[in-house]
Amino acid sequence: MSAPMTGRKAFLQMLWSDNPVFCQILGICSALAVTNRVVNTLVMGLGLIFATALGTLTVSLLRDITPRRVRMMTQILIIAAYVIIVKLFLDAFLPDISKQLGAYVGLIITNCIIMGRCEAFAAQNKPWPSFLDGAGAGIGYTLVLLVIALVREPLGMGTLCNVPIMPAWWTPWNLMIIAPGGFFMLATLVWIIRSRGAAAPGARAS
Amino acid sequence: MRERLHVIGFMLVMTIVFGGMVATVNAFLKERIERNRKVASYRAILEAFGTLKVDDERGAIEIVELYEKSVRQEGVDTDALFVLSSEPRKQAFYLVGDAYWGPLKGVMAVDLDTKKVLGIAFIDHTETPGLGARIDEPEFRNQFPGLSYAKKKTDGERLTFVASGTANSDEQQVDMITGATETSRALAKIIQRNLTAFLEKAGVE
Amino acid sequence: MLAHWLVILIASLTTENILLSRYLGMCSFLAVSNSLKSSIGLGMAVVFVLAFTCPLNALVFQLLEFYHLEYLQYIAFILVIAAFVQVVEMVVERVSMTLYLSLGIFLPLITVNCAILGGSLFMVIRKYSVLDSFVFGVGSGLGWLLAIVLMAGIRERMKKRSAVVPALEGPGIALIVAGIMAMAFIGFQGLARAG
Repeated sequence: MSAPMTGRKAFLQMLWSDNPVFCQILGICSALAVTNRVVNTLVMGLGLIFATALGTLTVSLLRDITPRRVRMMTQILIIAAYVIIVKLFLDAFLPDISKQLGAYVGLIITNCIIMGRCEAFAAQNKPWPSFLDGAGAGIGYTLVLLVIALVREPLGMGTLCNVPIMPAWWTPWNLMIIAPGGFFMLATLVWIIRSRGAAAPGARAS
Repeated sequence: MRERLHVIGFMLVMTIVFGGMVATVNAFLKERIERNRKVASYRAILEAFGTLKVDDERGAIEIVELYEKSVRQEGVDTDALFVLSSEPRKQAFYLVGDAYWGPLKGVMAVDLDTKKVLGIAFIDHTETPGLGARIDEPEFRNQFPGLSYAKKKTDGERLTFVASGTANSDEQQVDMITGATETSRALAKIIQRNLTAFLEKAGVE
Repeated sequence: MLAHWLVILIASLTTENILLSRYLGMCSFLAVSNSLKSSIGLGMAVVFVLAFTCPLNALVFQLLEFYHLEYLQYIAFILVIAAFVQVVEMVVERVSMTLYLSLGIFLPLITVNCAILGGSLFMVIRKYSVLDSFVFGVGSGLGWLLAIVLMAGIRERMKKRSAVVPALEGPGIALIVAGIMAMAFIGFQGLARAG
């Protein structure tokens, strides 16, 4: 690994130059599934930020006493515990949204972003920078998803946060709500970001 | 050998610690979660009767109060019957069955005298958000209040689901949801089955 | 019974394709689908793991229900999956070195493949029995295998014959192809209902 990362640098990197979604192409599954509604995306994002930040923090705190053989299982266990807590909170305080998100809350556990950050950063770095790295990754992810949702919901349902905003003559683009819409939107985003050529973040061979 | 024991011991401790953490959070939130489930049921029943409007902002406690005041339950579990205390000819029953993506649970209320549907509401389903899940939306549900179910087709069907935009309520028809044909069809079957069972029990032909 | 299983099987391959309709397993899908050989290898591994972890987790869930510990399902499932993959890895290593070397990197990857955990979670939501779960696991795995092999075939041909806009190379064009495939698979609706 390169020179020890400062917390601030790690955080900022996660937002843009090493953004987990359009640079590392991670965490796609939920990116496609929940982004047909802005509110769901927001809640999903917050849940992920919580789980990632606390997860990376905990992994970092335990990094010196975790036996190498079970490093991965320990990380999984930690992440799973935090995700369950997120789900319990959702069921208690936002039951309607929890139902809409369904299985995808649980799938935060297998979201490659969290595991990726734990393995690549938290396992080797101090707690505070790891926390910032995790939080940054979560925020970077949420921001990208919000951008996608801000296009999919208005075009696909004519609403924004469940408030109708499109003019009466607008026919919703059904494509945006279903699976292909997600794929195409994400591809478009990747295209736009990467088209900046030399100025593109990451600019690594895919 | 020692290393292996150390590893197993570590995992065990971890599991207990984190399992314990989760169990603690669960203990704190369990009641609230249970109450949410109950309120969701009550809410659906009240909405089906029309006592509660769809965007009613009343809180959990008020809903429970309203329910206990207005509705009487007869029978248990999925066979339960809900009777509006002030007008006993208005009754509601569960809609239970397999929708397209998974099990569905809802409520339908009818007026046995006028032979019209009072309303429909959903408690649980796993249909696709933005598509099949739109059965929750007012636009879809508002087709039901006032819909007659009196006539029965030769195959026993009472409420027919047709292509979106073409429904004729005089013909006891309901608009399907665009892009959610399978969910709509599944729902039609569930309604048919549960409505028929209810009418049989109520002694209507 | 048999018809019920056939429906689950066909649905998981087409209308409920775990990747093209439910978006699960995307990360490894995008990363591995540029090589047909690797895709087949990974796909087969996914089928194998899904086929056994779904019914295993169905049993585990019944146990959890008995003790009113359903809320622990995420931890239980993921640990079962991780343990299962670990065991399979050890067995393969001992039994066939060649198989181990070709599958080697894929196995740990599979543990965090959202499709595997997703399979178990959907199994719970749809209340499948243990046998149902096995059929569902096999079907979903095959659906995933189908999607990734189709994608790999397309990508390999594209590599030779198509000029892709540089910004779309790799994951970009893969996503677009996946979107088109998803649209095509929607055409299967009406063929079968799940469960």
